[in-house]
Amino acid sequence: MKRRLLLMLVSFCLSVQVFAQSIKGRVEDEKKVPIVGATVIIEGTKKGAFTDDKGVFEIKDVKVGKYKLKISSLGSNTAYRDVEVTGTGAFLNVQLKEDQKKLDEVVVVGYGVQRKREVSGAVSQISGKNLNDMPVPSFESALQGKLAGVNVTTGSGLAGSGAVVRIRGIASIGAGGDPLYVVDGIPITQDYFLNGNSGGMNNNPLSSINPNDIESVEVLKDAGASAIYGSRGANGVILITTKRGKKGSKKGPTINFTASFGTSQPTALPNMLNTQQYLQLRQEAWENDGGTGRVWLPGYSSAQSSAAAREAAYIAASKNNTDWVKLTTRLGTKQSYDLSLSDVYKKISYYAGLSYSNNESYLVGNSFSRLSGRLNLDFKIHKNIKVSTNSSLSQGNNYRVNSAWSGGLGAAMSEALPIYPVRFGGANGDSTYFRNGANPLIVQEQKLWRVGETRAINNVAIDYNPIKNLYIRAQGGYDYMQLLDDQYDGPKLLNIADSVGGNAQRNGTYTNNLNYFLTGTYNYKLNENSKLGLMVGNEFQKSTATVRFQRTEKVTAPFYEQFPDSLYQNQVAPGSAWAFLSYFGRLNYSYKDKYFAQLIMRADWSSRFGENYRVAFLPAISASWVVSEEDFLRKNKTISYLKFRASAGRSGNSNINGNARFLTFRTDGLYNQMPITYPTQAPNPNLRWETSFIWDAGVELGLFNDRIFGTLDYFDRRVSDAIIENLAISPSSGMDQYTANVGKITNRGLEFGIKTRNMVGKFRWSTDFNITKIWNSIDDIGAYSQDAVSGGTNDTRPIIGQPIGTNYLVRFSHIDSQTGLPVYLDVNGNPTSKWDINDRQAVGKVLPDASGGMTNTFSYKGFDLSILFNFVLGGNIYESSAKRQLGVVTNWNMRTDLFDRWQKPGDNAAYARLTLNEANYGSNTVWINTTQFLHDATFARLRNITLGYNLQQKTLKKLKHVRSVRLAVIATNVLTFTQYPGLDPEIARDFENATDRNMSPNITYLTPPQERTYSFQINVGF
Amino acid sequence: MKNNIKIIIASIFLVGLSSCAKWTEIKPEGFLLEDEAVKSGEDVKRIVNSTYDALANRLNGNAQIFNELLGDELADYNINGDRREMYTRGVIAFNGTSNDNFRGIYRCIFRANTCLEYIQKFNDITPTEKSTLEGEIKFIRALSHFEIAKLYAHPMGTSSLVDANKEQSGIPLRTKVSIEPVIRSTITQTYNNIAEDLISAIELLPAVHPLNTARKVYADKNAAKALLAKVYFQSNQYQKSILVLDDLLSDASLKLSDSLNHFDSKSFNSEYLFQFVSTGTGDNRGAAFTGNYRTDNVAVPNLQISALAYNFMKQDTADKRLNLIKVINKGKPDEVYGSAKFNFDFIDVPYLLLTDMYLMRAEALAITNQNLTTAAADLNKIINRAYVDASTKVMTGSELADVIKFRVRNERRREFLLEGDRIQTFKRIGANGEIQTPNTIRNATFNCNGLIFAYPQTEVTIGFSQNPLQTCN
Repeated sequence: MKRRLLLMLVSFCLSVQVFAQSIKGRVEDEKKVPIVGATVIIEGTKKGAFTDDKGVFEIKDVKVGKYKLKISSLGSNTAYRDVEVTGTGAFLNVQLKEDQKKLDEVVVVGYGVQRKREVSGAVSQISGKNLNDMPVPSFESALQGKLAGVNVTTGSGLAGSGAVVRIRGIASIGAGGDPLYVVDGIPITQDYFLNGNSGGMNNNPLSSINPNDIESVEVLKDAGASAIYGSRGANGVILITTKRGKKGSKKGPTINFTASFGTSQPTALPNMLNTQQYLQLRQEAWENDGGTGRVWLPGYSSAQSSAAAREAAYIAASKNNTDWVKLTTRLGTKQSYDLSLSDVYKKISYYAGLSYSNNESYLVGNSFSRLSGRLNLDFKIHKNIKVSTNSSLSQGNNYRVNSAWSGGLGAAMSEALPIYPVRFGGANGDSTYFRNGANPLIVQEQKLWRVGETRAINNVAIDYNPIKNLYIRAQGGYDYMQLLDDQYDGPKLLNIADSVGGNAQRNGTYTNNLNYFLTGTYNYKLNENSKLGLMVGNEFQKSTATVRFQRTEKVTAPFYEQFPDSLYQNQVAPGSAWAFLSYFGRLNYSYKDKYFAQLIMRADWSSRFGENYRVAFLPAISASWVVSEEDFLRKNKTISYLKFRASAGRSGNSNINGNARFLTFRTDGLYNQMPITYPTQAPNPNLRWETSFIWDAGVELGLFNDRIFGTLDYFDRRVSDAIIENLAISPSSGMDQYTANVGKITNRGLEFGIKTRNMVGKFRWSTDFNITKIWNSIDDIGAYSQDAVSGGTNDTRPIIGQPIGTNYLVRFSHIDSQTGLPVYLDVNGNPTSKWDINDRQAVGKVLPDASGGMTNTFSYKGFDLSILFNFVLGGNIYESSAKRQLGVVTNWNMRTDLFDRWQKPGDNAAYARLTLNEANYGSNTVWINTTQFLHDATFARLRNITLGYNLQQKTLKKLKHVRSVRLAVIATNVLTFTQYPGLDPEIARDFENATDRNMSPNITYLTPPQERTYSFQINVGF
Repeated sequence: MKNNIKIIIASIFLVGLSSCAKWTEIKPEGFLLEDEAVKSGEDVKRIVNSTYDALANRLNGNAQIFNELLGDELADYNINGDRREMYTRGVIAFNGTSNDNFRGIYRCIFRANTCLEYIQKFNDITPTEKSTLEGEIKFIRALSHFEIAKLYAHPMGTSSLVDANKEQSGIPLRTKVSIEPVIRSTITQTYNNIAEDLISAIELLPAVHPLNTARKVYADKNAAKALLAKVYFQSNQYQKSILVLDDLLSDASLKLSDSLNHFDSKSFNSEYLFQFVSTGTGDNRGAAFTGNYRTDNVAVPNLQISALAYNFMKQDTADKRLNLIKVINKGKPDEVYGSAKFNFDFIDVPYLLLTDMYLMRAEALAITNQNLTTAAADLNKIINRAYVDASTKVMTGSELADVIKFRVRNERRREFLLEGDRIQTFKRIGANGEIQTPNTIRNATFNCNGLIFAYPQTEVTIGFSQNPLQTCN
């Protein structure tokens, strides 16, 4: 029996030996450093393994026989090895060579591409895939937290709202601080103020761009990169490249379909008082002020009302308890569908995309839908001539609602009191709108408002390669944008009989933006080691935006539904027109493919420049050294990549009002039915671009075969001739505005980005982290006082020695525990009970000390999980509306924070004794800005969490023609960690003009909070 | 080969150079440049027309309401925001509403001064037309400076409570186009400058403006005289005012309106000497009046008459002007008072009224204690129109000057309820050194700094003296 058992065991062991061998081995690089996480697969099977931290792998359960192994690893060339498995298994050592392609990947740099290794400027790149990982109101919001040096403040929760993007801080006061956006070579129309500020929102010119069409985004950050855009490059340049036709892995076109569905809700809701609380606090204020009987109530009684009248009003008012926040918000829904085809067919390659999305925000009535199509073609008409076209057409419809200061949720947070009913009277008590006080529901229900944007961005390019190494490209582009802001005020809104009809108006902006450029590039090999590249070019761009205002009365529908038969008003309003004519060149020199130098020059003539400064000439130089290519580092086992680069040069910002240099007249309007002509502003023949002298030094370092890869940059930007817009030359001059170059600004910073592959193998984990620290100060504003810049609303001012967007406020000290009244600090720091504008001090700043993001990505088998945190450190938020919600008791509703108020001597309370009289707070006005509502802006936010599942190959094989299937659930703005007591610490409110946009982000005035979204996405590839 | 390269590179530049820098000479969109906008005398006329337009948009009730907010004839109801600052006499340098008004009025002056530079440039208009245009410009400039002086400087007078030497700060005077800051002139310089403009305007303007038909839309000789009289009157220069008024009122064509409502124009009101005109609902130059005070299409008006003002008016029930007050919710706890003066879809805004001229002369004569018969006769014109049994109210001319003065001021208050007159009258009398009964309006003495607005902060440059903050409630 024992023998039989022994025989069985031996034969079992033998059989194991014959049928279950393993292939073991070790994978290393040329420097004999183990490669961790390399994939080793037996060709033709699904068997494989990953190397461990010693570079060792083992593929188990392999039958005896001959196999071919495929060994691959990121950053290395793939290797193939034949192996014979015998009864004792097999062992092999594999050495992978460094993949030079990574260094030879191309980066778009403006008027051309460069290999990564030869880029000597600071350029960041992000793929379209990484921009489409979450639902955002507009594509630029998806850049948030992902690129070092790129700070993105997402627009508010309004559908389609635009983000504020700042590349390496801000160094403009009155000129636009936004980067230049270039889509497939066209500097696109990007004016946020084409439609002014209406309803608490600026138009977002980027919202019509379909993020699904984007192949990659490159960000040019320093002079060494951005100087090629001359007087328009200083704020950085965002180059957007759309997808082109590609040959797929299968025969026939590659088809992709993505659908997603989701919800929108606010990240926070205001804690407004209900009727009982409002009446109680108002009564307390009245009695604190010495009043007797019932307090008078806005909309019901007045301070002069008799005691009986006040009592009657109080009883009537207390019967209502309207939750205006609830009535103006909802759970919004989102859906989007995107279909794309891509293929190469003989000499033609194409990419075609069709997309529809409809995003409701959480505000009742607010949504943004976009239907867009794209066709990008490349046609090789001759062996050395290629014609390419990019065509896109989109129609965005933004169904607008009033917000912030103009009503809607903003009214619910301010003037709409809980004691006001929505309607009253009639049999059901709902026949008539309440109009004795703010009633946002009237507008919500009776106003139709749609901003329709038709956008076509098209270009055609010819690439000609007449002789070896000479490349000529000619491209013409046309960017058309039509904005039709249609509003209809119904009879009930106007409070007139339904039979009369309502008022309709259209504010139409029609922008034609044409450009062409012609470049010639010649690459010349000087000798075995030295290469020279020269690119020269010429560009012209002209943009005109015509604005027409049309209005009619006594109609029943908005313009977008029915164009009226007759117009009451039909007039051309101020628009904008500008042009740039430019010559530029880029000279590149490389030695041994590891030393690189570059010279950029550009001259810009612009219609925006005054007659004494017609042309801007802005050069820059840069150099880089790929140290890891040197012999002494080639064999280093730790450092796999090291590059130093530096640049210095001039770059400009000419994002200025094109009309500002002229003495201009207008002729609109009539007086006494007779025509009028009037001057609007004084000319400025010296108006010119802002000049930035920028230098940058950076290092790029890869360790352990680039498992750790980081970049570190120091940059320094000195701006002279900084524009101050709306300069208040004395208002008594009678001129509305004046723009001049008077300022000096310094903006310095450090940016750091690192990517680590923490775990490799079956379970993979990688981390991307970036942080940017900025030092910013205004060095000079000429002879003007800080108050001469009227654009920075809510008391941000340009103060010498302080950063742009300095909060300039009276300092609040404390609430006097005996009197319950606020105590301020005067200019000398002494306590005072008087609020005086002369006591204002520089006390805060809207710019953060640092900002950045961290993405952790995990994958296991078909699952992947991506978690993005973004963060802001330091800086301030000024909660401008809090002075009314938590200040003097007025006709505004207030917040439950007031429960922590002073009520009796000895109380140490956060808020003062309630009063109806602003004089008790030492002021003549309730509109006093103090540091009481200035808060630390630090926050960290779980911006995006995506859990995806990709169907495995074996499952896919069962589905005919299906190449890939991916399912994902996505949540955005899930968690926020902040001390900020207001709604949402990420604030990009509506702005009045460029100065306001530069100086007053992080100032909130009834600004709707960000949205939190939950989505489900399915992506199918064919 | 090398030649090919050179040719290609050169051609790139040639294509570039062919697009010359002139391509960037682009005209602003929606604007005209000087050489397009001002090509002829007709264009200059259009600019002059625009000065009226701009002024009409300021004096559409807004500037008048500011004055009322400082006074005591508005109920403390629905007065919020910037208006609240006015009501509590604490207008600071950042009050957007007052600053808009300041800017808007100086905008008229800027336009007027721009015209002055062009008038002599063109020969397609006659010398008479040029004179008229220049006269109008000076009239507009004077009117604008006057409106600013009323809100931004203490009144001129002999009272030591302001400055008996009349050297206190006036306003920045703008007599030419300039972006340079200007500091405040003294109050004497201010009023002298305004008067000089008007004296010149009287010389330059025709008796009948060629564009005026029934309505006094554009300034003529009488309008300039009327304004000069008002300027002298407001600055306590009564003798000068009387001289101008004697001249003006000797014009037999001037006739008081039968209507007690100054806003009841129905396209023609015989007593208007100068008015801002509306031509339809879409062109209502009295929009701030109708929008805030109208009582015929709302349950309660936006702005209401104070109980104090209503009680004052009610003291004499024979006063037919009581009919211009609408009592809302009469007898109920929530009884409030509105005005029926502005119950029209659109109105002309009278700026210079014959009623005012008679009342000014009557008061000026009473103050200077001369020709009381004329004073009484002037006053009686107003009394006869206003009372049910006027014969019992009229003056004989034999009353003491103080009696006439008291009475004329009483009538002034009744005539101009809600028209922005009361606070200016109070300030004028105070600056003349008179002790008034009561000597305060809503607790404010006439010289309280709270009764003048702070200049916009951007106006305050080196050497510019800002009005100090002082509340007086």
